[in-house]
Amino acid sequence: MKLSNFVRKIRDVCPPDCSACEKACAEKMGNLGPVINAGQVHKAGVYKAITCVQCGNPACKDVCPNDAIVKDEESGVVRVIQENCIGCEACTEACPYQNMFFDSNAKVAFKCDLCGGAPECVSACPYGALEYFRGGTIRGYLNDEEYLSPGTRACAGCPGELIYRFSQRILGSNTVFFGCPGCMTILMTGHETMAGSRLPYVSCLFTNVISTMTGTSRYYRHIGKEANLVAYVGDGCLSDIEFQALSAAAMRREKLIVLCYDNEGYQNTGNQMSSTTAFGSLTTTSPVGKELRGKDRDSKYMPLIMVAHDISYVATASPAYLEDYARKLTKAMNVKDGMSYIHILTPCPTGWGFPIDKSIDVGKLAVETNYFPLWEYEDGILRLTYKSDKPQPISAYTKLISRYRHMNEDELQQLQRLVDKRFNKLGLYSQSFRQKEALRT
Amino acid sequence: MKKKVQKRELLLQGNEAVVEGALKAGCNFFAGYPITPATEISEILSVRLPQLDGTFIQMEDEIASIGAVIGASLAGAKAMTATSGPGFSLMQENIGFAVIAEVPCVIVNAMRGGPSTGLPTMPSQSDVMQARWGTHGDHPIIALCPSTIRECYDLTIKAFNYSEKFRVPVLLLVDEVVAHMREKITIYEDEDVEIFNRVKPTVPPEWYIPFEDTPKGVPAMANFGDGYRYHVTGLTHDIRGFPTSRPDEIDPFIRRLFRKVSQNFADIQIGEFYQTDDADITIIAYGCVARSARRAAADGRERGLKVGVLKMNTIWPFMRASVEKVLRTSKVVIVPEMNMGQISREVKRVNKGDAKVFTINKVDGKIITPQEILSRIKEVY
Repeated sequence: MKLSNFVRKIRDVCPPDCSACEKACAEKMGNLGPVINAGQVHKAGVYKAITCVQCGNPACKDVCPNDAIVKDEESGVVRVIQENCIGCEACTEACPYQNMFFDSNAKVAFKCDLCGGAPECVSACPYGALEYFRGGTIRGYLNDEEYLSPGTRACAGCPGELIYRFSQRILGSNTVFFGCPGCMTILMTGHETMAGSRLPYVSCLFTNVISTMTGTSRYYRHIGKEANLVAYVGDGCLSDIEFQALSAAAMRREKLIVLCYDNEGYQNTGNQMSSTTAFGSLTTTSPVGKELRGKDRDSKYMPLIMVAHDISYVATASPAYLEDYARKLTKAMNVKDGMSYIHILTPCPTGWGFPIDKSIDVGKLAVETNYFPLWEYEDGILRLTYKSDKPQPISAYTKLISRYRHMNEDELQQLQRLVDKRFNKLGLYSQSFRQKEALRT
Repeated sequence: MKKKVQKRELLLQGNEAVVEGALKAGCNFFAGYPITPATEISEILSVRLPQLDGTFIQMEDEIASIGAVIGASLAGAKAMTATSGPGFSLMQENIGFAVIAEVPCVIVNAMRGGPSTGLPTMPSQSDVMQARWGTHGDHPIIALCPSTIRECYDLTIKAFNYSEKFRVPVLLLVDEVVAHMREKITIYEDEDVEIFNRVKPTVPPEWYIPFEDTPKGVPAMANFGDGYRYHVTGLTHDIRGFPTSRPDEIDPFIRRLFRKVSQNFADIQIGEFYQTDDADITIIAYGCVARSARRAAADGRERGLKVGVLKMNTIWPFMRASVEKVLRTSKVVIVPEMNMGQISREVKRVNKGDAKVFTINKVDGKIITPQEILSRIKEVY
């Protein structure tokens, strides 16, 4: 099975009165009428498919009595062969997304066929809100097997779970996971539900995840065994209590993959602040009142600290940019020697306070506002892997999240300065590194 | 005219009562790290301490927390930290440092099921022996154990007093049930609570002997930075604070560490006797189990059994005198505990054969019920 191409919405910018996509579609479809609805596009969330999703196992294809519906193996597109269509309308009933249409005059079913690989709606959109998503690119990274069993105990809308599941699909079965007490341990061990990961998992302690992995890795090397040893550990552990072990293992160039899911706090014990909690955040140990206004200092920027250790691979990633993450994790897997570290911002609806369906939007805005830039570092070169054309002000990000709700204009400006400072620093790093690259070539 | 008594009637959680007690005792420094079931103490103090011009720091782990507490105490603060089993294990080396350097501090351990990560949200009493011998080396220790919310308040004040009076780290062993249970508590603002502050040197700096062997065993403690210059070290040291390997200095030093606690047993050991005078059966209990024990005693009396309870509020130093007293007067002694038998072993150790000692050990993360105690009584008596 292959992940299909489809059209999706990538920016929540379309105004209600615009219907450019629908018009373009109608023009292309001619007599049959449009298969995209501008009103629905406006209402849809980011990354939602807005026309036919070109299902892997199309229900329409299954019900068609005359084999008039075919699925293209290469692009994944589902097509109606109108000569074969007998006009029974079974497919319009079967489609769970109501994206199969029927023309009562011509007595034929019709649907989105992605305009043969260049969707008109995407090129027509004046705001750049739509994207022609090519499933093959992301699918290439994934294994077919699903390692996470359903019914886990993660909170609704948790992107930490998404990243965990996705990472497993990339890493494959030759993987041992390590973790420590925290949100994801509840998930990975199947705490009280028995619904967890099918991959072996060692739940260590706060102080010894990387040390335990070192022991396993060295013994594997001794007996000649090759496996992905992966830590999936939170920010509280890695940036606070585990930092000593992480730093020491990085210095020793241990062959480990360290994934840090950064939900900016101790969310498993109920939203206490950690070293990576952002300036101004309200947590249960950085209260807001007359004396205090949330966390009073900037966060610890772990990925740059890991760059300073000069390990084999360092990257930042976001659940809103999964292709980017898939590429980075694959790179980390292919590191021959030494440690790779990926820092993933996983917005926490429960702890930060935003609706559970907004996790990806928040993650995306964190990148778009330069609050959490995406970059990677390898072979002594740092480069940004995503650069937003027009960075939005930090208030666009903070207004979605209730832990920043108390912040006044001054405090927001201070946060903006911190964000700018960090981004400029990264820019300087990447420039100086780029010069180095140029010198070398 | 009679002054109106200011009183506050509160419905408090054990952890909240610990905070109230600490603030009453004058605690002005807290360093901690989040851990269930002690997190509430950090959370509340993060709000209360800044309001009272105190210091709250969230540290990067428990080792750092106790380190900060020791540093603050040396500088003159009344300092406290709160944790649970795993964090308590991390703190052990530093607790030993506080013992040998004679640094007053209070460590709250809200006990949860162990070993290791264990049962984060369930009660247990399995850190009792760790409290006694967790840190290496021969040392005395004071550990208190509340069973009601009022005791959480009172014993926290007492913990601070003992630590200041004897220059020792004092442990407050709260179990998860007491830490998270809510009860009504009345706090009188003008209550005559004894608050003890460490004795400061009265001599000029050049005469000051920081670890002097006084009759009480507790040398005066100068704040770091007050002009009294001395060394603090984890090495065994002489009376001036310099490391020593001379047997004639090591021996009196270690003995003094023990003496300062042992000659004050009467002050430190707090317990309560309920109807033990005529009891044939005595239940020795502490923490949340003491509550079940009292109920079991009341129910037992209704059924014609002469049951009494010795409730231990001081776990360490072990209340030998009180335990020996009930062992002499009773025929049967029952020690219910939420561990595999840590205090019962001590009870058996001091038993001279006057009474039979039976245990109830429950390690399934649930509290021992009065019914279970009564069934055990019926079984053995």
